[in-house]
Amino acid sequence: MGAVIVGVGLHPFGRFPVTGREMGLVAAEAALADAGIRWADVEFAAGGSRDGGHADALVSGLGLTGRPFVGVYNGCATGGSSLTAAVHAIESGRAEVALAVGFDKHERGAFASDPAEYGLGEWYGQAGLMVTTQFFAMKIRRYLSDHDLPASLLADIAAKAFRYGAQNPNAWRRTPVPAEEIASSMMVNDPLTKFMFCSPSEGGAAIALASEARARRMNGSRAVRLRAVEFRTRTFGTFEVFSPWLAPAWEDSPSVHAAQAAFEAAGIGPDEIDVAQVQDTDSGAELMHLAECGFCEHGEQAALVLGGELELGGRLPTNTDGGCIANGEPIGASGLRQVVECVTQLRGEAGDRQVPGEPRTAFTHVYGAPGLSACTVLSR
Amino acid sequence: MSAVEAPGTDADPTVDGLVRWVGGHPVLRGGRCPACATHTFPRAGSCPRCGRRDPEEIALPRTGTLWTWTVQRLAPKPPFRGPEPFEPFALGYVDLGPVRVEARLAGQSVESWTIGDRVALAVEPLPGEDAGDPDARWSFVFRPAEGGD
Repeated sequence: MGAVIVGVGLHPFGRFPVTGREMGLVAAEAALADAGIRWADVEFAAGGSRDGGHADALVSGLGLTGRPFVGVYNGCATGGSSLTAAVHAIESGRAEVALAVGFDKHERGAFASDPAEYGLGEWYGQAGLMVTTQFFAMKIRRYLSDHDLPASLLADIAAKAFRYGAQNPNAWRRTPVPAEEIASSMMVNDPLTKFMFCSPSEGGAAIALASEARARRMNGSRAVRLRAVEFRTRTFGTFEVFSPWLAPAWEDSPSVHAAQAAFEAAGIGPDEIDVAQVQDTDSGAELMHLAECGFCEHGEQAALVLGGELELGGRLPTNTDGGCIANGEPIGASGLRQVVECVTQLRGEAGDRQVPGEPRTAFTHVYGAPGLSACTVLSR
Repeated sequence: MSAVEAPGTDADPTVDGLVRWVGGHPVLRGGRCPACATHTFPRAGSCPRCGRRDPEEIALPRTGTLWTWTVQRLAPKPPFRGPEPFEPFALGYVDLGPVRVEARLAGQSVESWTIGDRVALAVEPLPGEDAGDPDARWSFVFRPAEGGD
């Protein structure tokens, strides 16, 4: 793959008295400044937001250069799709410099979804089944049962997220929460408690990309190679959110296919990854996604969690910026936040939460409704 | 609360045509693809596996086993309509053999379910709806199957 990440930018995640669009602008400007380029240098842009407005309207704030800006509305894969579009523009030779940007600003509480938008009858929502958190609870309950894993891991993983969030100045939740307090907090969807879930939040993230030739003339020492970005939707038989029915055989999730494709395209395997960000919509999701992305066998997660392998000094430091649990989930920005964190780690600029030993490779994964996943592989 | 006798004798409009009455018992109206035998619920306009149009309607089995479950403890956002204050309810996926169906669970306390429980289909008014009201919204549920339902 011929795209190089030459700049990253974030608007902090949390709750802010500014518009989603403003957060997108801040992130985009930060990525351009980080790359040492101007908006006028950008020949192609792609971006998205679920609730924060049209991403392509950012051009009136960045400058009316007349260049193409593709708007993306792809749920939790919005960032991955935007990045894919930007990479394609560079690989095809249409652009030497491209920008992917995402931002969002959601209401409090679980996302409200209209059954009709997902091809479902009104009855599904009226019966109280159109709730994303129910899906995560039912999937992890079955998963823990099938693979003989203790439910106590759910609190341990959330505690890790809050611990790293406390070390990340851009995170929303910056206070450590002990596992006991997480386990005994309000039950939302059994077995998942309030502190095991991420919440919708606000924020922005942006990635500036350049062709290899152009990147060599820019900030070479801080450049990070985007080895792969792969996006997949569900295949028949997977267990997805908003499913009134399931096929009797439980087939591999789109996360499995996106991760396999990303590793294949990158030419490296999951055992060679030094730092990872995986979708932790809830702590059970992180647990399942570790296996779905190929980092362990199903059921081996207890050893990873309890053995400290997901911590900064472990074999696979995971969700080192606090993940969705500590950052919340502004849908348009969330996937790009993961890429920003990996770039920050690979550059050795992560401060208190820096993965030791000069990590060389990194991986990101998002999963979302109605059954899609995007993964990236990065290296120095 | 027992499974109540629902209005209607054939396709039941009070639950969006999801239920049909067979021999005095409710059954779910599923779909079966004539090309690849994939079952769905509800019946879809085309088969999600092979894309074949117009799957045929079949009556799904009335009993099954609980495959997974949870409890909804906070009031869902609209279009959910429920009583004030909100009352938590259990829900799960019921393995009916050719298909697993997502449904509300009723008939015992919300926390007392176990994977593998035997359950049977019933039809009930949604919470907060009056069974005597001709405009009441109804829903299918699964209840514990012991005692011959």
